[in-house]
Amino acid sequence: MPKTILVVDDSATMIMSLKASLEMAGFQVHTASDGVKALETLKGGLKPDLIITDINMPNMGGLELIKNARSLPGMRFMPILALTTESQQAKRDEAKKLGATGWLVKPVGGQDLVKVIKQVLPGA
Amino acid sequence: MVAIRFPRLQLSALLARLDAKQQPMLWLFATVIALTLLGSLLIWLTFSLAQPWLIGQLPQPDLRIPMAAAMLVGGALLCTNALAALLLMRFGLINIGSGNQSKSALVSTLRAEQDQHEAAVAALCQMAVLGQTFDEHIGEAKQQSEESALDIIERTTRLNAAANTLLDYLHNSNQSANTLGEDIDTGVEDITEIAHFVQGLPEKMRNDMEAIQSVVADIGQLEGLAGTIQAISKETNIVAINAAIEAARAGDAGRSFAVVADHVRILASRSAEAATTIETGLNTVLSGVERSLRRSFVNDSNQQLEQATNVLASVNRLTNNFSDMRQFYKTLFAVVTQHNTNIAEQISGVLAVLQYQDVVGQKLSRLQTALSQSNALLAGAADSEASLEELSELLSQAQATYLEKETYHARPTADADAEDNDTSSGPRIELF
Repeated sequence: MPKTILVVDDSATMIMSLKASLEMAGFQVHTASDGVKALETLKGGLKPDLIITDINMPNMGGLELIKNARSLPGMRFMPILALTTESQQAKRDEAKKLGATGWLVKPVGGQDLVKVIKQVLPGA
Repeated sequence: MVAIRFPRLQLSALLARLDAKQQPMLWLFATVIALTLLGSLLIWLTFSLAQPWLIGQLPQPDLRIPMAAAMLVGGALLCTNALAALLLMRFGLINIGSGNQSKSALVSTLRAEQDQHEAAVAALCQMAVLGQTFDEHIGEAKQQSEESALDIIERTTRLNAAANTLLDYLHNSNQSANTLGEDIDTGVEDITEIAHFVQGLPEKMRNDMEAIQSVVADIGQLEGLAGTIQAISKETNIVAINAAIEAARAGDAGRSFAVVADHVRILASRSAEAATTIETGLNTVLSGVERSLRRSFVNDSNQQLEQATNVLASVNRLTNNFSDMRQFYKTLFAVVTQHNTNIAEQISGVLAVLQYQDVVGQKLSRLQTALSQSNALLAGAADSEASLEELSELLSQAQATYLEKETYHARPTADADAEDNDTSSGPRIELF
């Protein structure tokens, strides 16, 4: 059974690029274009094994998404990776405080991304 | 970096020109002082030279000296004052002309400054419009780059799917080849057994031929046995004839014996016939077997042996050829798998590099935001004189804000898979 990953980004390029890379690595990928749609997807019953989210997005940013996702049942310990161009330490600290599992700065190579995913998803 | 300079106001130059106009006034004061000193000298000389003559001309002797002095001093002062008045009048006229000139210059300068100010305002408005145009074009460029990136991703994904299809095809071909190989191995084993059988067939045939020859020899011995039977039949016939003769001599007592003798003679005759028939049949069989042995076994045994050896060699060649073919398939599969792995890695790299479109797109978005702020400042400055005075400071603040926000975003490396040496903004990958 392939592991399921929810990719959240407002950039169609990032969505398609990550989807293709992760599917090549054998993962099942769902996508959302902002935090609001991601939350709707999660509340709709999707239980991904991992969430990869951008930070700066319209409607609802990544930090708020992390905060809201953590309050949903069964998602307290689900790994959430932030993938962004932001490198500000204050934002990293805030993400960590809100429950993010890791911080990745764009662009991230496919091999590096899969390596990180295998670290946070044992058995992937 | 290109420094943009607006035309400076020329009022300072105008004031300098007005200051220059004040220089003759100083010269005038110096001239008055000089003339005063000259008048004093002239009074002293007139007083010294004309006093004796003047005293002689005055009617009252006791008042001659003071009157003469007063007249000389008064005359000298009158002369110097007249000169001073003439000079002041001249300089006044000069200053009035200069004032008019300065006024005209001031008016023309102010008009020129007004024209320059209007031109500067128009330039600010044009810069704002230009900035909006840049903003729109940056947006279009972002859109186009995103469409191109998506197209590349789609093509890359199809390329990967095609590579995987090829790999699946080769994998299936390899499995089919393995299954075929197992079938062929089984077939080869069967054929090898047949070949070994065929190879051993001449020997077996030789053994059979020897057995047949042995049988033929035995049959040859039977041919002698038929002769023996014929001889026994003749002797039995003779014995029967003798018995018949003896029975005839015995008369009635010998009749029964004569019947037995007849039967014995008949049996002897039949035995002779049977022996003849056996001998003829044996001779026919022997000749037929010997012909067959000569034609089929003895003459063709070497050729059949060679053919049997060739069959085994052919089977071995077939086995070797198929082994080569299977090895070729395995090598081909391994090579194509390796190429496919390399293609997958390259595709993964291409997909990672395409993330730059988003990185650059976000950078352009931030640039668009800063450009919009700059355009708003330029447009506001063009509308109001006060804003124009603060424009430089506001633009500097906007630039500082933009540059500060840029430091919050990591600089993309040349290679997405490469390690980032810039640690000032934190590691590129960090697990909490």
